[in-house]
Amino acid sequence: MKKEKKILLIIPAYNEEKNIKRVYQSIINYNKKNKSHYDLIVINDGSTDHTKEILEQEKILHINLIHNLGIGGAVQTGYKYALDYNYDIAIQFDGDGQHDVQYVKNLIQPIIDGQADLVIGSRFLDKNSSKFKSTKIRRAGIRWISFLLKVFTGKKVTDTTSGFRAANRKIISCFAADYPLDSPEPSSFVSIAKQGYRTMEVPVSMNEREGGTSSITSHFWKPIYYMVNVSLSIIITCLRSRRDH
Amino acid sequence: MELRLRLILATVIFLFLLVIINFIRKDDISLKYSLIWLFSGIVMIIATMIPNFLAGMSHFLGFELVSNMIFMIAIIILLMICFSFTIIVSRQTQKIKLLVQELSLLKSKVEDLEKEKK
Repeated sequence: MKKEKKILLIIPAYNEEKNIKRVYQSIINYNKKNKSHYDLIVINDGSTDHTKEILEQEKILHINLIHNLGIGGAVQTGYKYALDYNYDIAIQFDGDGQHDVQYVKNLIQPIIDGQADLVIGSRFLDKNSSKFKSTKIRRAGIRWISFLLKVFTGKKVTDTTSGFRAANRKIISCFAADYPLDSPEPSSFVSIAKQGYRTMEVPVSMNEREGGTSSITSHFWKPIYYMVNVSLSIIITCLRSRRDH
Repeated sequence: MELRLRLILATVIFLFLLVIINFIRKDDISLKYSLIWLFSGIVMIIATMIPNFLAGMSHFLGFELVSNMIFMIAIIILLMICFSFTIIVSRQTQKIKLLVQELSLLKSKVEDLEKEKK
């Protein structure tokens, strides 16, 4: 039998006092039930609520960022941790309860089989897979990003903003060295695809967030800013990696 | 330009230079980032002190008014300075991100070690 892979769930959390305990519990319960050994690290991104106290109370393994960095900076800290402690596979897992730990198994399977370096959990790949498909306007945004990714990388990604992703060691060290601060999912995908790594999507189901607010829709101008930012960063990342090779 | 106006301008720019030098002396701004201000101050003093220099130059370049030339040059220089600030801010954002991440990782390691000791 093959040696078991070391697997880490990276959970970025910013003001998730309502959700983080439940998310933690769901992973622990899953580990018990399925005799799996998913380690987890919560990256507390300078939360201003009681996230830190809850993490300490519940003895959840965590890193407190000394200052808020945003989702990209927090996730990258997780990848640095994964690299430091020699994890074979790192999975980004949201701290707000949107992601379901049951799908981690499907996410890491292509990596264990050596079929892919980066695996993305998609809500849209299988028509019936996810109850929660997001709003119409968001889906339009996702389709636009998907179109850009197709044009600039030649790869088809259906759920471009999915933060539910699994990475093998090569990708972990890539992300630990370089990870974008803004709109990190699409632009980091471009840079990975341009470097010739194999990517893959697997169908997953996501839940609607149960507490807290999305980082993108808190102000009316934010989605506009996000779309402009994403579009530009995809194009620029593409130009950048072309120059490197 | 009238002599009186030239003297007033030169005095103001001279005071401006003194303020900058004082800031550098107190180490409140680093020499690296103040060079552009010192340089532009000195150029401005020279330009105001040489009689008919600005008028001659604006005539030579085809400006109808001396003030138009001065405004245009000033705007171009300010844009360049602003742009250089954007570069500096971006670089510093990267550095701060790296610092926060590495420090936070280190801090959590040290805290874990301390707990083990107890």
